[in-house]
Amino acid sequence: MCTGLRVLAIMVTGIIATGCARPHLHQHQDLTEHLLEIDTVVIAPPVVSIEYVAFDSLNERMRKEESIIREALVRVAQRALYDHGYDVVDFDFEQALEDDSEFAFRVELLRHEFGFIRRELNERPDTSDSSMDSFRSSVGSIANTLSEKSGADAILLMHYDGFQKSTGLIVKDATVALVLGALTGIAIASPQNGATVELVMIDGTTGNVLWADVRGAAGLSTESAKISMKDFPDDVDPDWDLVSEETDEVATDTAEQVLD
Amino acid sequence: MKRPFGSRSHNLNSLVRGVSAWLLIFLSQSCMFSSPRYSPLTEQEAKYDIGEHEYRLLLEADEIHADLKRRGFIYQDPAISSYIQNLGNKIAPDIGKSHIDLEFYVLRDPTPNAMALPNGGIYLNIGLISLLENEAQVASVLAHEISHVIYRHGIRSKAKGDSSVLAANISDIFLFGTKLSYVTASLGLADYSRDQEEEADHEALTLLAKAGYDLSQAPRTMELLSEAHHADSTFGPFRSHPDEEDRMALLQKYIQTDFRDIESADVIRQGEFGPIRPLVVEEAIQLRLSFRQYQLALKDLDRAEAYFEGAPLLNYYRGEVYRGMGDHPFDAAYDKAWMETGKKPEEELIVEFEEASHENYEKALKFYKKALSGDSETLVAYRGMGYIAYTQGRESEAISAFETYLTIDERVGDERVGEDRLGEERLDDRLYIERLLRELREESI
Repeated sequence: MCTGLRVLAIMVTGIIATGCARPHLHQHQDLTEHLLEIDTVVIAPPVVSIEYVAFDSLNERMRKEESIIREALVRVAQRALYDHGYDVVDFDFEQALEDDSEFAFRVELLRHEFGFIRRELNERPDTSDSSMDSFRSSVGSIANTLSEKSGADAILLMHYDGFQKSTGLIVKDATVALVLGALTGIAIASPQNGATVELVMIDGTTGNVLWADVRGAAGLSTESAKISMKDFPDDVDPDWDLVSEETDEVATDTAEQVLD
Repeated sequence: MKRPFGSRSHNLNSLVRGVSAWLLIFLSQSCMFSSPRYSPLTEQEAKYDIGEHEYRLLLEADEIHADLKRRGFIYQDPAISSYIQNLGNKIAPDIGKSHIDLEFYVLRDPTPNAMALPNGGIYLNIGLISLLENEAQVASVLAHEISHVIYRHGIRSKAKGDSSVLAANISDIFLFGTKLSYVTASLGLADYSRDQEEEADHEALTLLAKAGYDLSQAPRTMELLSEAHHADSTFGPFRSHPDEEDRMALLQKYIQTDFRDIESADVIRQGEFGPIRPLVVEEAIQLRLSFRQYQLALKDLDRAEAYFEGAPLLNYYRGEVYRGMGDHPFDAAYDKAWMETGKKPEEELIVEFEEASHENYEKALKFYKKALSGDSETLVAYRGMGYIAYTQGRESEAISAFETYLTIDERVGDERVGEDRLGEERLDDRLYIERLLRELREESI
């Protein structure tokens, strides 16, 4: 078979295979020391985007599914935080965002500050400040806004980016796969849907990024977040009496599969 | 005879079936439907039957607005936002019988853009307003966006399938911000064709003339935006209007032909824009700093210098730019590379900025001191000086600078009064600096 086509097939397969993000985990160099000061965590409203990717590129946001995932992510995070020994602060974020646009914008700036950190982590993975053993980054004073307003020691940010292909696009991808398969003899599978989840814990006082994890998977569910939260650091000195009371109040069911 | 799998004829049949299926789907989805007539909203006798298509678009526009509001992008400052709302209401024609309400907002976006959504929401970026020189120019932008809504360009575009993106995806642009622009860049609901832009340009002149504004400011506005777009978006993702020079020429032609009988005396030019201008300029610069757009911040400062010559705060903000470049050399390199080439920075450029950190800090200190020599009450400069001293391990200087900074009186509530806004302290900064002071004092014992 033509060498060029085989190379093309391998490239396409590779591109599709890496369409789901590989897990990336970072934690602060002095994590244990910082966790001594962290007992309470506030969960910022997850930023969720799920796009219905149409054949003709007229994409649409899947608002209903986004809402379901948003709620489910909060439940997953609450449960996991309790399991790890943290107290989750009951703060009405939605009302605060509604009432105070300055506060809402500060929350956005906080996300933006982390975005700069993430960009550098992604693009300079080998620099000493970004390697796992010496990770040390801070979002600065902006974290104080949320911390002060919510009364929490730390902030959990969550970002969920998903897609669902339309029938037309699925057929198109299948056709492309068929063509390439016929030409190259290599079977290629392209996911019909998928999502990338990013979780970040930030020290509300110092602004230090204590822990960050990103991973992706096929399907639209909160499973990646659950797996990610298993690696979440335990509270160094949890108040287990308080935590066990709170855990009972958290709903145990979470939205599993949004779409069949 | 059964064809073995993998044989050439079997593969060919599969290929033909697959391609046929694909073509069938493609053709069915590309089918052009006849477009309903979308009457301008000013046609008082028109009946606005809202079909499902328009209904969905209006819903999506409402969702976009809710997103913008929820995330704090809609500027709530009473001085600026009420100015724009009042000006928009003054220019807007009567569309009372339509299903659309015109609403005017200012967005926290330093890029020089504005947009109109099909539901009547009109958004001017703070970056755009900061470029403008007078009220007539602001009015011309508003009039242009109002015209898009009146002529229902957004809905007409979508009905024809002209735009490639139906729904805005704000989070992809801005959140966890790897992009340098946000909000407006990918809002497909606000994309228009060249014909629609020209139609809006002409209608805008009509609205401006009726409201008594100086029409000569419309092409001047286009000229200012064109200069800014070239400065901002040579390679970047900012949304810019194509063929701006052609449109400027066309505006001139319209003014000379269709509006030649308009009396030029007593037209409004400056209006009440004077007190607003320093507010928007400062906000735009602060946003540039927040988003680490250092090169553009310096351009904005140079532009502001022409109007606020020698203002101490301009030197303070220059100090902030250089301090930012010193603190974040990777982002400074990224910013520069993007501006000059539209690409990510080479490692050499990043190293260059890392090695220049000390030099940038020195430049920052020079500008902070210049700000203080211009006005010793520019106490925010001490914050920057304190951060630099802290970074460089000069503990006693850092303590002294931070303590001086913290003597700024806290502002009460959200009251904004002209120059009193400049250098306003933020609660989050105070707590952060107090913590740094505790740390510094403990270390110095």
